[in-house]
Amino acid sequence: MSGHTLTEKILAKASGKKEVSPGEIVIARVDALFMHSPRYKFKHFEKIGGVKSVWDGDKVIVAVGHHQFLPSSQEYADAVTFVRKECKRYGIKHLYDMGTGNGHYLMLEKGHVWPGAVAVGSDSHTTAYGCIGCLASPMNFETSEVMLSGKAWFKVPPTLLVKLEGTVKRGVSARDVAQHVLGIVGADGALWHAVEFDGAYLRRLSIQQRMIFSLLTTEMGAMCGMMETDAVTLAYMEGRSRQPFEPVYRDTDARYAKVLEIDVSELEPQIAVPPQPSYTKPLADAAGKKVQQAYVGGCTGGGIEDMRMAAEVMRGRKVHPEVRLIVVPGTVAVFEQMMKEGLVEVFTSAGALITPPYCGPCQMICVGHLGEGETMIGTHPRNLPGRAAADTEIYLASPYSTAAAAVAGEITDPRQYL
Amino acid sequence: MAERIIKGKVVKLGDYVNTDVISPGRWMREGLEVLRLHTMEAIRPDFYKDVQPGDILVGGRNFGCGSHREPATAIMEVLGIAAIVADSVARLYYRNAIAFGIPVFAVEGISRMVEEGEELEITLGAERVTFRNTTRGGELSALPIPETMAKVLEAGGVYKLLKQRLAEGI
Repeated sequence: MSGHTLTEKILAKASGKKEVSPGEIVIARVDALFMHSPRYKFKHFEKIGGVKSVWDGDKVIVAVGHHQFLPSSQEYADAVTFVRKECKRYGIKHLYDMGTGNGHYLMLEKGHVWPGAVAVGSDSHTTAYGCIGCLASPMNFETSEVMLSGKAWFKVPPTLLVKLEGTVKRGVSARDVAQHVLGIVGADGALWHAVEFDGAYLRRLSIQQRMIFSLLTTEMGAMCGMMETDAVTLAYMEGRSRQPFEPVYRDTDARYAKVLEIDVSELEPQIAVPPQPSYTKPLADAAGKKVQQAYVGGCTGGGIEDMRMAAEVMRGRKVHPEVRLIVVPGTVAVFEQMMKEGLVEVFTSAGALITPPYCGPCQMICVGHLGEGETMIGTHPRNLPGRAAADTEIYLASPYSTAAAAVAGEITDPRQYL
Repeated sequence: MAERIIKGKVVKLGDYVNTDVISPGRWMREGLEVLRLHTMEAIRPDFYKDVQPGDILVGGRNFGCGSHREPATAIMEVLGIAAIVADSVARLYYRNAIAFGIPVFAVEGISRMVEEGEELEITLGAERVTFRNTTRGGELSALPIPETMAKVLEAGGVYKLLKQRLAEGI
């Protein structure tokens, strides 16, 4: 008999089974439910009638400040007021209000998820928390049911193991590596699969940088993007987790649908070109492309190290006169750390615009819309058509490369500025 | 689930129809009636004029990839789409459609079997689901929808199922 993957073991534990195998449908208990805009869900509760409270008010987390740091319209202001009121009505205890930050960074920072837990969320990037060994998976309508039952169905996925070895060259970041992996796997290369990451390169990264890998698995069609708990995870969880936990580890003889071994040592800076996050190319292929907006932030670029990388390029330089550089810290804690380290001054004196923490101009629904015909480069996760005005283009790259394009006015190798 | 037949005219789309295409961020908060006028416009202008209630959407690979915004599924009910069939369907879109009560099927090869305007007949049997091009022939089949999800579909979506359960005091 062969052993089980991390994903299988967590699903077995959460569904009260001894073991589970790919293809099986299980109903698992949920330890955390994340939502940023549950207005529709509450309206549906009203239509259904008879709903009194959520299953456990401590396990439902609503981050109304995820998409907008302040309401950008009357309609949005009214929506948020409604959500605040309804959270109280149904006994939801954790509401992160406007200006507090990007929900995915908050879920980790505030200890709402832990190793071995099961988390679901009504945002497609809920795969993010796999970076601490939590089985985290997105779903949407069904979260209404999860809110009441505390349970969700899962089809036990086959698992793709990605092993990352070696040391990256200077100027190559975790985003470049994650972008490279996404390019190899493709937009549907992990459809209905779990992806598990490991390897010496990965184990040297911080939790916020590991989160980039977990989060981007949703762009491969995956159900979750998992990593084993290690010393880095345990140090991060210290004093943070809202519940005592027991990490789950994979069996040494676990069975994988596929194993991908990648040596990152020779990797050059990467870039995703329109119109798919998975269309990865060497950055050099897109060099010379003029940009009008550059954006450092979002749920794959709002961590403190992302800010440090961008600041390293910007220090003592100016944003190109025909470019807007928008910097969006992931959370208030990231913002405070930026102030302590003098990064805020680096950005403002370079002519960049820093907004309060939120998810950033990735979906063009708060501030930072692109004008017709404009091109943006950013550290955010997604560049699909329809996201901005019809006649626009979005490129995705590392904080180094994004800042470098802001300086040069065009996509360029960031290493000349390091 | 008792045998059920869904029959409709095919509206054909390509590979990787993502949720930003189905529900553009700029329009999705304006209400479903406004969104109806803009759905798919990035790949097919005036799409709403081409679809009639009862039509079946046929897509290629990874239908519904991208974010799982609610309007991208809700708009299908507004347009009156009877079913969605694609070579492969994104996991989130699949879950959402079932939860919303919209029959959705991943059937490798369907995009090669039917063309725009042809008639597709879907027979939901207990053992297999079959897909037949009644205009010029051709048939494919797939495994039935698993029981957990079939129950949701039968109830007409997760909200109706919740209502039933609350009424039964569970």
